[in-house]
Amino acid sequence: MSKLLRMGLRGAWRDWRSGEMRLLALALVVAVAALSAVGFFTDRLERAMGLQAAELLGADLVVSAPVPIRVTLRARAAQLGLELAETVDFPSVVLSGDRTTLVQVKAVGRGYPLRGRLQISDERLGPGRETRSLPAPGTVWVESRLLDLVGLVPGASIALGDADLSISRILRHEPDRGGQLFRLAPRVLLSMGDLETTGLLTPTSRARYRLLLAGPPEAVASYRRWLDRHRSPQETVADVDSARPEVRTALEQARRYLGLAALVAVLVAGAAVSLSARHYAARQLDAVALMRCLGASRGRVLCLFGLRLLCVGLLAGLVGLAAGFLAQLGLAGLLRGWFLEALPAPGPAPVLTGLFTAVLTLMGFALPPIQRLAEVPPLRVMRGELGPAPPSAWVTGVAAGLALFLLLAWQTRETEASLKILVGAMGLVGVLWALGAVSIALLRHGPWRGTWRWAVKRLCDPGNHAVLQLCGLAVGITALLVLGVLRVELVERWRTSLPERSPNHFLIGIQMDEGPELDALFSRHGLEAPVYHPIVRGRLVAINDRAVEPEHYEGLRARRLAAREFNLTWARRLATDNRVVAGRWWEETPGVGFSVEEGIARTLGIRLGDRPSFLIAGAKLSAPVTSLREVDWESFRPNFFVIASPGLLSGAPASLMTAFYLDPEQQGFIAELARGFPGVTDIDVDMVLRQVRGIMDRAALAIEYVFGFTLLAGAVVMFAAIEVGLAGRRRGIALKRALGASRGRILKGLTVEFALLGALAGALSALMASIAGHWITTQVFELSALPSPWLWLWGIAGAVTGVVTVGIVGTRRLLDQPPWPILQQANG
Amino acid sequence: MIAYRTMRNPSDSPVAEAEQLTKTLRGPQGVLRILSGVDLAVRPGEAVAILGASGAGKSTLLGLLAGLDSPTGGHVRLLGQELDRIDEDARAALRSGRVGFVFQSFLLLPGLTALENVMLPLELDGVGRDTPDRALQALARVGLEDRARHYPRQLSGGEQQRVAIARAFAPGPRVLFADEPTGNLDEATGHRVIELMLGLREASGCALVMVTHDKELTRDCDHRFRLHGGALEPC
Repeated sequence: MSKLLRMGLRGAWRDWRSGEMRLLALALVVAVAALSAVGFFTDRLERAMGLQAAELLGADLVVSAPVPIRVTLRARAAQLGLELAETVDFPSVVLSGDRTTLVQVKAVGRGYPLRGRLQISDERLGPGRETRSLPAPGTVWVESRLLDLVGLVPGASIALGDADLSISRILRHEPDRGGQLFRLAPRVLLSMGDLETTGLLTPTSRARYRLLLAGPPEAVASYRRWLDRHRSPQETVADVDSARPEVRTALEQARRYLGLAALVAVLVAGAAVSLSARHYAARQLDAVALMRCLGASRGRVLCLFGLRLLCVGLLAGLVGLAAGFLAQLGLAGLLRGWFLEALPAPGPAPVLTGLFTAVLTLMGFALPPIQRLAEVPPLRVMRGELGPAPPSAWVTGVAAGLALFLLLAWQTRETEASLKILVGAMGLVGVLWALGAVSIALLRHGPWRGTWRWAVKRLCDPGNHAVLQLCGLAVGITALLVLGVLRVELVERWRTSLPERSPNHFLIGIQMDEGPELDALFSRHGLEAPVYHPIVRGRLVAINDRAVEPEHYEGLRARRLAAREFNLTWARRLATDNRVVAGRWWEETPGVGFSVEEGIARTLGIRLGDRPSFLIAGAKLSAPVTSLREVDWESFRPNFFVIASPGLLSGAPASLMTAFYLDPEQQGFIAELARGFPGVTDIDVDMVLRQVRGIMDRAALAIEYVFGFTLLAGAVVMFAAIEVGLAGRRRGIALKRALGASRGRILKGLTVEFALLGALAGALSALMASIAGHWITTQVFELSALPSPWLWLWGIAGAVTGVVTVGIVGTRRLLDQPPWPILQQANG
Repeated sequence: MIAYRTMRNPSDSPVAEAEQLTKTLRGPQGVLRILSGVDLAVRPGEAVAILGASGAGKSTLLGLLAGLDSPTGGHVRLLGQELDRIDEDARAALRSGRVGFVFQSFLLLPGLTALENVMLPLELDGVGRDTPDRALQALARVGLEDRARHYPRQLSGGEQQRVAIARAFAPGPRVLFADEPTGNLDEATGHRVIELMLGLREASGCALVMVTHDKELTRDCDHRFRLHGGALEPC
């Protein structure tokens, strides 16, 4: 066995030295680099979650509620000797001069944070330092983003509710806040003592109260057990294992989608591996026949070449891992601070994934042609025409499909989803292949002349594998075009699809008695009197007297809905953008009950006639569902999941909300609103859309970054196809040069050939991207689709430029070789 | 049909033996009879030449004797083993280290140096750490030790064939099969190559079965046969 291993290693080294397996290795490097770049990045995120779990909470255990924390919870914690700290956070508006901006206010009590450290700096761009202190009375610590939004510097004053507070420090890091993905509004941190002076907290504020606890594990566990027995429905508990579910969810989504994008590169690289392996196997036929003559059994041949393949695969895997590690630095740079602030070094798990990818890709794509070498008859040494048949397309397809399925299952951790994705991918490749084959067939029969005729003949030569090259290139280009369309056009398309003068400002937290004063403000600024909608905050706690527990629901959305507080309202009339689809509206039939939006009813399992129970300000309220509604959310007017009949919610603490359109030139209205109504929060929709656009841009960039590997893999397919046809191309060029063709003329022919290939690939990609983009825009986002000529222009121009460059680089050396030795060799 | 057996020492078992060997092929125009009832026995240490016109079936006979092909009828024994009783892998194992080959087209592996090409049968035979030394000695015997690190493309035709001869003799075979060893060489080089091959055979004591169309090259062979019309006759 050791002799066999030595022989296999020697063979692998000789193959590498002679350049036999370089393209195969390069394809593997691209495949492994793609998957491991994503793997290293998400591993860093997961390790950060694990190492920093307690920091992400700011404690070992956190109890949060929409109402002030009960005294009994604090008392019990003190009994067990646990450290305590409290925070309150809520949205509000900061006023500076005439400029206002939405902020997320957080008041913190002594001891915060119990785990992790705050980081501050004195200047906007100054060095950060950790601190155990908190904002002094009369001062706030703010994120530097706020300074940019309202044009302030450290030391300046801001108005927060009724209080004027000065900015004493820049807040650089808050351990329990998470990354930028979760921060819509900049943070303002103040001490708990200053909260009352702001006058911002009212019974209807959307505040979140948190009790942070830390201590010895046994004490924390004991507290947790006690809390589970005594917890009120409004209180939620988070511990180290369940910290920051939104971060975990975002991380899981990132891992899944980036991983899938990387797998596309593996698929295309697999095509290059298959092509290179077939070419390699074809060149080994004589050597294998000789080895069989000299005494090698079939099994030995298989072992020797299998070992060579494995050696090259492992070496390429290691190089791919190194490349992937460097590439993930780029990913981390693109998504810096999105999920978590600081990322530790990755662990060893992605290394195993990378090597597993290399071996599996080899087995799926390279093993079928290599395995056939064992069937080479020794008589081939005398009769050169003898040789094994190449592996059937069926065997090749099944092996490749199995390898891809295993990689998909490893990536997604779901068998059924992997199967669906594989079938979808195979279908897409099948469609591309069919379109490519038709294009080549049509091209072959065109009325070409001169250089163009030779270029087309060369391109359409079966040995050139043009259809394979087309598919390999088109997959990557299609993905990039679709992402480009979505990134650039989707948000704009959605924005322009809204009716003109749709509400672009939402006001929440208006007290019930502030209506007339607010009307006057609107009137002073020449604005139409707003329509107010009452809001009562309530939590769904039971349906038909059966307790609602988020864990009882399967989908993530259902669990979130079951855990959140609802914005309940009441109305006499049915809004024009609502339609009753089941039951009756109470204007027609007076009664006591709820009207529920049909989508949420389906998600939460609420049917007509059911009795949902809501916990409102500590009291339970139940009523039957008397109608289900369809809501036109595209109208962008205030709408509600649950509407109560008039009078049902009387006595419950309520506030008002409204939505209106404000011309950009009328920002003075917002400043006056912030001064006169400090408890009212203004949500600027345009600002939100800018944030959303920014998030989408970065997400798309990250996915495009990963799809760049697919383009690389496509280039390797091209190189592999050029390598396969090199002998014939070399002889053809030598002959033409012997017959008088200049280098320039031959170069022109090559350029035409690759330009045609690029144009075909670009056109195919633009077609597929148009179809995919149209489907996503109309079916998923339900927007109207517009043709995008830029798609075709960028697709074709980009593809032609790229393919011509790669093609000329791959064939240029043929122009420099003297023709005579080549012609002599061909003559035997 | 008289069995032609070479008569050096009747007590030595033949290293290669054919008995009523027949080989036919099915073609578009019916059955093509290449060999008809050929009998041949090659004793240890003997040099046997098989002559005939191009397409007479010489290479076919060589392939059958070496166990690279299967006959339509008759029997072949190689190194005392009846070949139709064993499978392909067992034949390969039989050949390992005991049978050498020299081909018309040299059949050197282009990605290996001269030394590595000579090492190939030694590695397959599982020879140990002294493989490179033995291979170098084999190259020295053909006068090419200073070309050990050169690739086939850097050698002339005659030099390539000498490397092939070194490869054939390196494991110390008991029989060497040569298929038109001078077919791609000029006359002078061809003669030198034959002299070298026969000299090495003499020194090593291995048998040689050589196929050629050039009678001149077979002067120093112990026995000469002509293949004509599917039948083997002594010259």
